[in-house]
Amino acid sequence: MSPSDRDGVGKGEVSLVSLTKRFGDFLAVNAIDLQIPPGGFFSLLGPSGCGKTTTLRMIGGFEQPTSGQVLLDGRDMAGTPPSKRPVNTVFQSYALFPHLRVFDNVAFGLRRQGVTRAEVGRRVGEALELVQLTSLARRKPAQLSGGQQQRVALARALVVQPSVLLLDEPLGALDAKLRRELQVELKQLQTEVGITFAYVTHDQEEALTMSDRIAVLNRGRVEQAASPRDLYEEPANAFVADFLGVSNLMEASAVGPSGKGVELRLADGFSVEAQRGKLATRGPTKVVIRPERIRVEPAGSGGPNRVPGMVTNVVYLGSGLQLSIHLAIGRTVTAFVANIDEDTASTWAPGTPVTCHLPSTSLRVLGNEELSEPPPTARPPSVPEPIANGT
Amino acid sequence: MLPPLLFVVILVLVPIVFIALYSVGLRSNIPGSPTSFSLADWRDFLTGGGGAFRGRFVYSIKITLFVSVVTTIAAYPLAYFLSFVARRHRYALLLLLLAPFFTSYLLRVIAWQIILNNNGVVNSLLWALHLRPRGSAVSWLIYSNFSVALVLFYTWVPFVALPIFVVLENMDHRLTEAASDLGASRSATFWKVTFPLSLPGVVAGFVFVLIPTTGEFIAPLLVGGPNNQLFGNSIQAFFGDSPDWNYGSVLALTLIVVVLVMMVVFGRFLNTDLRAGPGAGR
Amino acid sequence: MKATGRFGTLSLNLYFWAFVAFLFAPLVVLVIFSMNNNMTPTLPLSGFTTKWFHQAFSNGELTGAVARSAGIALTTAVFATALGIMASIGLMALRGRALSFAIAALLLPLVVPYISLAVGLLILLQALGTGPSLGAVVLGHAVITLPFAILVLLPRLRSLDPAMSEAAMDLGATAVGAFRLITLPLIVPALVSSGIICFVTSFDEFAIASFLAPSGKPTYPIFLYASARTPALLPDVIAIGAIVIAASLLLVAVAEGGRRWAERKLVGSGAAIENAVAEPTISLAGTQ
Repeated sequence: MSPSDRDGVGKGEVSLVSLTKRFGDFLAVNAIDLQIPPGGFFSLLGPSGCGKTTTLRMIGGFEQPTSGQVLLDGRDMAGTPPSKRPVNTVFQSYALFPHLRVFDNVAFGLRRQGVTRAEVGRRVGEALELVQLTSLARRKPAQLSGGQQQRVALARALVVQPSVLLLDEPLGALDAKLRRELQVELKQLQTEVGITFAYVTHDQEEALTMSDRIAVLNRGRVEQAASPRDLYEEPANAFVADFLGVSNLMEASAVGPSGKGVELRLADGFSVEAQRGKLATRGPTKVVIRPERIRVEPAGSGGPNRVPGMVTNVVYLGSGLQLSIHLAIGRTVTAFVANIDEDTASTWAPGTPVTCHLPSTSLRVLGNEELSEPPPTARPPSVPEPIANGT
Repeated sequence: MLPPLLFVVILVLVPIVFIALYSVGLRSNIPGSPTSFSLADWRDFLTGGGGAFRGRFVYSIKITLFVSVVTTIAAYPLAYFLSFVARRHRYALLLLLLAPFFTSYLLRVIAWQIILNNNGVVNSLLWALHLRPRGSAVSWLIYSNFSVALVLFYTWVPFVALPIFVVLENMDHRLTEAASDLGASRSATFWKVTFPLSLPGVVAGFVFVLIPTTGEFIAPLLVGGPNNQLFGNSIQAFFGDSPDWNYGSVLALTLIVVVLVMMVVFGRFLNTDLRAGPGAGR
Repeated sequence: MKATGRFGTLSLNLYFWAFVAFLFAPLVVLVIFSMNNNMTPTLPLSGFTTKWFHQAFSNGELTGAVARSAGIALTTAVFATALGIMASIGLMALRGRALSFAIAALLLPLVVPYISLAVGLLILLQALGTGPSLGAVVLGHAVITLPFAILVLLPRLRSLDPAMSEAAMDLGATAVGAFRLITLPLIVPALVSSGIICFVTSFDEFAIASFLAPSGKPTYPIFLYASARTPALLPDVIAIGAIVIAASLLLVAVAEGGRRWAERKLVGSGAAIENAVAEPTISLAGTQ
């Protein structure tokens, strides 16, 4: 199942060129340009309805683009049905064939290709071993657990050696612990097999954990495509900033150059220096800072880039505290304080006056973009978003 | 998709069109006979000398409504029993209830004829038990309103119980639990929670018996007397024994229209799941 | 708190079982009299005999009618089920207004009273210049059983995960192949149910058959009706009737048992089994 086993098969590079899909009046995918590099773990991330599943289905051949192209290793896939594309899909519902045993489910694709019986046996055996399901080969899908069914779906898609594996929110139906386990397994699997994985999810933590590269989608457009680190540290706009973790999005006025960056006036009497992002911006702008970068100091501590405030709410996360701090500039930010010692929890109780140090190297200027709608409300990382159809 | 649609159109819509044409005299079953548009037969039936048929129509509607109401009332406890009392075996028992429905209808009517006849099971039993003098039969048992209504009732009760059962099954039983949590007695829970929620099934059941019974004509042939013939029998006569296809078409079209009107009136209460996909409407 | 108290449970039980007795009483009566040594079905019983069965089976007209009805019913069942599958697949691809319209059109036979439809078909035959024929009976029966076929097949098709066909094609099957290998095996129980419902409905149908069947070739219901008015033929009728009833009940039991067995085998034991009897969506009916 390693890359060297595949002869004449492409590297698994996907190019989407101005890809558009319209359902009646509804524009699901809006002229997307995207490169999925070969051999890596690529995620399509976004909220419900952003077009990520539709995009995936167009790569797989289950939807026809209204306009634009899907290119696989340079070849235009227009007019090519799913059965003929070097791409296979793991569906959200797994779509296992309930009347066939696990073995026959996995063997299905091989048998369509006319592979000899002995060869089928060998390859199905390998595939089942890869996903650790060898002992369950004679069972039927209804007799398997959710996690096991998911693995059968994986084996079934991988055994036919596609160049690209498409996965449509495959972990959605599983409980949190199982999800985490399978995330790790999937990542390992991808590394072992070496083919391109294109993974659709709405769970930003999942995407960050598993992916080599992520494309963040919103309402049919790609907001940003980059590595997890770049997306988190250097979000291109407020949507991306807010979708991955908490952004503490603030409005400010960029006054002029200051030191190594730009001076931002947050409110009357409160100015800070920001050294990241679009430093040439002037006038009204948005700025973000991650909760873990805000340094919470005792009240009255002095120095630049400091704003007084008061702790209004504390959420005990175990690994640390999530503090809601109402700042003197009239805004509430979320800060994260690691649980360093046993006094931490009592030090930052609600009602405590504090000073927030917003380091200039952690403040990122996003510029003056027009958002027609506010970005979706940020949620705490560990709460899963409900799965919706039509994504 | 197209062949089945075409099939239904040709075999249902076209005949109805023909019936309509016949009813206004534009066609005739007597070759060579002149045809021209005429509402004479309609006028005769609706307002003229066709009083006998109007009378029979009214009689049919009365019997139909009576049977439908009684059947629905009788079916409800059966459905309730299946859904709330017989929990574990309810599907098997439902099948038991429906099984006679799968045997020949004519045979069942003939069986009732045997039972109710002047020297049938009931009468000969009464004679054997000396409850009546031998040879004297209970007059209203056969060839009467009773026998026709009984046969119709007998035929349709299981079928009416089915939609009521389905609705009771789909009902969220937690609602009744909530009601008793809040202190309602069993009777109050039933009348205030269960029964109102089951009304769509009740209406469906009512329609299930109302529609076919309106056009019923077999039972009166076998267990009905001359005064118990239904509207369907009139239609049958005009196309069989003494043919007058034009007049018969007037009656046939009337029946179609009446049933359609009933459908529209009661259809508002029905909720066809057919347009929904799996899991919808739950 | 259970839904019914002790009194309620008891009375409902009594009511239900009394009603079941009421439902089966006429059938039992027929069976009893089929073996009763008396031309007239009356009490007291006159001793056991099997002569009516012998007489019935040697009654060529009677056995001919039964065979004729069986042939028509079988043809109807196959034809209507095939049309039903075609219609259901077509309906799956429709949405919104087109879907509502198509469903209304296909279920139309359910709302037309059978007597009116029967005379309408007679008129149609006459307009086409052909007379009554058994083929016409088959067509008439097929059109009234098509809605039943759809009502059984469509929900079953709908309940299948559409992704399964997509997965099959993803793995290299053609659309036809996906239907043959994946969809068809999974709807076999529904196909059988549809076949049985159509068969039983056609076998028992009187209105359309009475107008469309040629005069020398009665179907079983037509023969029954004619015989019911002839006291001399009554014992034969009752004898065959007893057999038909026994066969029908056996068929129902076998069909239900077989369906459960088939579903168990299909998806493996320990899996959830849907019950097709309770599946019928609330529909607009008429079965006579």
